[in-house]
Amino acid sequence: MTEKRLGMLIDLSLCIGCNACAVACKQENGVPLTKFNTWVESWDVGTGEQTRRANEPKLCNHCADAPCVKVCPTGASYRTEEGVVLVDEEKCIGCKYCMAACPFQARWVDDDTGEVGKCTFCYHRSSQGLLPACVSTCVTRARYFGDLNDPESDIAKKAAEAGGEALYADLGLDPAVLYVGLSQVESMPVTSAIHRGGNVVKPLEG
Amino acid sequence: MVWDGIIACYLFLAGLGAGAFALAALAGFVKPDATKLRLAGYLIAPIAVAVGTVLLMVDAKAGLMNPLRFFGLLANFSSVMAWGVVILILFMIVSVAALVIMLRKKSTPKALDIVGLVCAVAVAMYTGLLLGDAPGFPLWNPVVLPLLFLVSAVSSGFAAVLLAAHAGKTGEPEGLGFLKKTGLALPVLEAVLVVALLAVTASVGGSAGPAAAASVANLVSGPYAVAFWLGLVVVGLALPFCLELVRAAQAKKNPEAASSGMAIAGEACVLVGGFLLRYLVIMAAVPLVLF
Amino acid sequence: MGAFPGSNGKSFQGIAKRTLERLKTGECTIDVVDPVLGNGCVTPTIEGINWIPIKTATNAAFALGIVRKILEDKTYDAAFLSYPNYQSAFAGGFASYTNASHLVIVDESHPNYRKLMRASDAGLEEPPADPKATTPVPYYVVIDQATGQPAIHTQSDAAQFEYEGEVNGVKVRSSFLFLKDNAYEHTMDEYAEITGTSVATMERIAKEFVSHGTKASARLGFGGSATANGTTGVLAYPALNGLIGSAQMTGGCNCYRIGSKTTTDGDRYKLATIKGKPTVSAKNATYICRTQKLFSQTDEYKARVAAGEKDPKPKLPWLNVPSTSDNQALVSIVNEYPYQAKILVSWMTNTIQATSGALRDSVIEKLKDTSVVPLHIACDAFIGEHAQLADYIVPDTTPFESFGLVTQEGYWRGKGNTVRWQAKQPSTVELSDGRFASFEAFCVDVAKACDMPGFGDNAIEATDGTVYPLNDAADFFLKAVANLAFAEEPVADVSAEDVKLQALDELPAAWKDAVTDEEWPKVLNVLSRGGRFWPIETSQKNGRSAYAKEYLIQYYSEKKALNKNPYSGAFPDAALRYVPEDFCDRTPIAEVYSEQEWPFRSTNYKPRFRSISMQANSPIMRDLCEKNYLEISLDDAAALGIKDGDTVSITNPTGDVMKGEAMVRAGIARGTFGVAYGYGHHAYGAQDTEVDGTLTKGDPAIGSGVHLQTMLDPTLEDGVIYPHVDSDAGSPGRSGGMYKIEKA
Repeated sequence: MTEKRLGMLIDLSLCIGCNACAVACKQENGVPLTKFNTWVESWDVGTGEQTRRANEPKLCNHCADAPCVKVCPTGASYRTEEGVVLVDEEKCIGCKYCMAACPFQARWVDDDTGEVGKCTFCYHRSSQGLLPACVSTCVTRARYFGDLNDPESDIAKKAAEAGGEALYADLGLDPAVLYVGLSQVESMPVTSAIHRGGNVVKPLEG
Repeated sequence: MVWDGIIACYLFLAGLGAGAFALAALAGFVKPDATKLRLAGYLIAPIAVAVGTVLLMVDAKAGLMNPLRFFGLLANFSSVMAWGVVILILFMIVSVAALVIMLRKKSTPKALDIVGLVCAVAVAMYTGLLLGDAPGFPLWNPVVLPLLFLVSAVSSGFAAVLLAAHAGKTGEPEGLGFLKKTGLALPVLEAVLVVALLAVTASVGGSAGPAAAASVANLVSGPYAVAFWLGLVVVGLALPFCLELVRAAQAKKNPEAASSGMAIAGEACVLVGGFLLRYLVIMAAVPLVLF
Repeated sequence: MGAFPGSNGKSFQGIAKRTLERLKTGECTIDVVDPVLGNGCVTPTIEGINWIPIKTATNAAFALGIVRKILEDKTYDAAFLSYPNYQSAFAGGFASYTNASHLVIVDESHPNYRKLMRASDAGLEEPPADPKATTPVPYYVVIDQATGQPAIHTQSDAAQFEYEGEVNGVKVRSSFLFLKDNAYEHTMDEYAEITGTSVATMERIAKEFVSHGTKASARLGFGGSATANGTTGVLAYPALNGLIGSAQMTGGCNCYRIGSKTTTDGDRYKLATIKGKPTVSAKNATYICRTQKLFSQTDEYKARVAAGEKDPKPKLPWLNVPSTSDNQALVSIVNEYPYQAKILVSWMTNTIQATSGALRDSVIEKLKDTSVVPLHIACDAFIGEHAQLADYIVPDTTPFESFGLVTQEGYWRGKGNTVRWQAKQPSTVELSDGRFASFEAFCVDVAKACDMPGFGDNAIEATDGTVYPLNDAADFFLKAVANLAFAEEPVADVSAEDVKLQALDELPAAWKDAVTDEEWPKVLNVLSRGGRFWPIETSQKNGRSAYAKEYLIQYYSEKKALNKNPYSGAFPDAALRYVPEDFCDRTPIAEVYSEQEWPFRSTNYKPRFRSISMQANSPIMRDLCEKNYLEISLDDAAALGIKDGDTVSITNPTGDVMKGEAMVRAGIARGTFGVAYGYGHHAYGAQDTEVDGTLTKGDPAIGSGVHLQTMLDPTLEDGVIYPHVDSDAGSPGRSGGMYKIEKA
């Protein structure tokens, strides 16, 4: 009996960059202002009539080999049996080592309490069989969620059919978040600033 | 940036404290009667590390607001930080013991000094291992950085103690022959390790490649270039090296008239360089995601 | 064109979802013709998605390029174009008809010159009048294909649509020929040049468009009409659909916005009938926004002509094309023409922010002036740019605290109505009788104070004759829901499970009291579903929408043809034609201001993180996006020496200056700059507000970003404030115009 492993698959051909997921997450989880559990990066690719707009939702990847769990000195950062990486705020001292360890920069620190927060795969929902807020609100059903190890689940079937690629796969962290079309999108020439939501995070060079 | 100036200060002070203990201990092996210098070392060591540790706790805001949580720090020993807690505690015990004994007896047991030296090396290096274990920032190479921090710690610690010794006109540094070698060798070694760090980082490929290259560019030609070239390379490494050469040449001509003013200037430069190294390593590091 | 699935549209979610689903499976392809590539369905990894960067304000030229190709290849549906009336088109399998074959009088000396020929002009006998008809039926003239002779349009089954000649001694031409002339006015290369696209693209789309029988559709949406030549852009879509007969057809340009009777006289309550209601209509009153009338039809014109004036010119243009116009109402009020607005009551509106070119001191000073507007009452949930100028502000509820029964949007071919009901108790001030302040409560109280019929006790009559009171929103809207619940077939009673899940037994007592005990469980059923929607299978019948009604596509619009411009005497084109933007006297703007000096057009588009007037006060929205940008194409930026992130300054010929951060990107057409609307607030929380001596400091973050300032029309008399709009419809020229861009 294979262990359950909760994961997410994001189809980049379907993300329209509407940011409904970012808003839903903020409201569901009471994420403080300027901090995000999930966000969407958008930028132009190509030129002339080949110009398209890439939209890439990002979030904590809930890695099987999570560096953030490894480096947490108090054990506040931990991984549940379904593979969800969580923070026990009562143990967190706010040393921010986990934030330095995460290559996806998916964690944030609460300016008031000093505690570190992150995407929880809406564990209060997903542990009860409900979908995370971002998945459930997605307008175009670009996000799939479920047990990666159950071949009958929607996400496993989609991953088998369309293939799923992980961000920074060469780091060997075994993320639970996969993308359809990732390498295709990332190989396209970037022809505008990169926006997170509507804010510039990387201006257009040259 | 995940961390900022406060952590840079901690890294500097911890390394400085470790290095100060090392000089006190080493001096005790070759010239036990350099007691004023040695006392300075045994005094600076626990104070610097203690202040640094307080800074650590201030930066850990959630712990600061809920201090009982700090007792949970020994929960996960796959974390270098948990090991760091042990190392700091051990070092504090040993260095305070050495200080007390030194104050009372004007000498320390060799065994204690040896244990203390081991702890000091651990204090100096573990922060480099801590940063190196964080894959989020490719600049923090897990092999080069600990070595670089070790050399920098020795350099800064020595400089702090020597500054006190020269300022107090103890005359004792001149009796420690090995200092003439370390004064020249340490800046060179540190420079080599800095180059090694940049070279190793620049050669990183894969997903971490762009951030690694950006980190190097940050230091060498980007927003931190002035701090790097002027602050670290010129003031922190080249100037102390040159001053040491001049002092050596002076000493050859006239062994008695060793300029302590120049020595103090050199030591101050080393301290500036030591702080800037930690500061730059923290601030100029570009995260793997690039933003 | 002007509609970008996933970027805008009503409803945004429905359109985005269904479009992407079909694009993904390859069921359809899409060409998004838009000067701005926003976040939307133009995703990078699906085949069959194209973005065509069109030059702003040239939609009609693009459509005419496609029309020309279809005419050249003769790939239009000739049988469809030949149907002169709805009945014969319907018999031929279609659901619409065109006036392509209807003859137009081109004889300049004829009294009905420029009009469609009538039976009387042709010397033909009209059929006997229908005694039941309330309005006279016009009988047009066509050349019957079978006989080759003139016939009344209802008495021919197929007519010629490229006829030129004489009928009854009068020179005439088929309406279709006017489209043909205009299509051939430019070569394909010229259309490519004008639009900044390519001949290959227009030809490809043309070929695709005619390759699916009636299962293709042209729809030019709202954004594409917001230019000073916007009317021509919108006319393009019926023109194209008319070439293949796809209007109201399944898989074609299908019917939508089909709803049931809710807030009118429905199956349970007569909500539109009020005994003793004053008869005020367009027939005996003039809209302040100067619509539904030609200047020559106004009393002012008649009086001035009678006084001996030759060719009197109106202070502001009159528009007979649109039904009403918000932005023109504001312009009228500010200029006190055609009459003074003695009392202005505005509701849920921010005309200053929403009307391009109106957010300026000259307009604001007029609205503040009590000699211009003696009494101004604003009913609003927010103190926006408009409401803050009012003498009184009546608090209003937000959409979460109010009712609404609206026809569903979303280009959905089914029938249904959505129901918005209070999700929470209003946060407005509670009145002494337990109601909460709202527009509805305000209307009721004012009406009762004025002794108006239809409010207070004995206000609403049910179909069984019982009379009910109207004192608050619930009294009205729950009855509208009852109408919906009982329309045609009553819905089932709500299930106990739904009541429990949605806490429908915890609703305010006033709601239950507004309907009968029999109606309440069915009303709850509709509330629990957020509306009522008929089964989608019933929406289509025999290849057409089941809701298809007689539908005419005009290739020649007599209404437009007769709209003589009072300033220049010029007549607009009656058929679709590419007309560059002009001022209200029909002078092209490029003849008044130099395109060398003002080489850029604006493209004002729907923002991702704001709405036209709202959302800037949402901390989450501001967190996601702090401000908007002035978006410039890679080539234009290079030519101007502008880099991504530079501060740029954009000016228009009226002298307005806008400063903002440049976004240099591939996703913008050349010759334009993209700027999302909804930013650059002056009020709405950006300003300090003092109420009863308590000061609430404004938050400058609410005002961040750039508000596009369009130019004023300089061709009217001095002192008249007239933002640049479309000469036919008065729609705002928020895209187009003339600007210059400089690094600040």
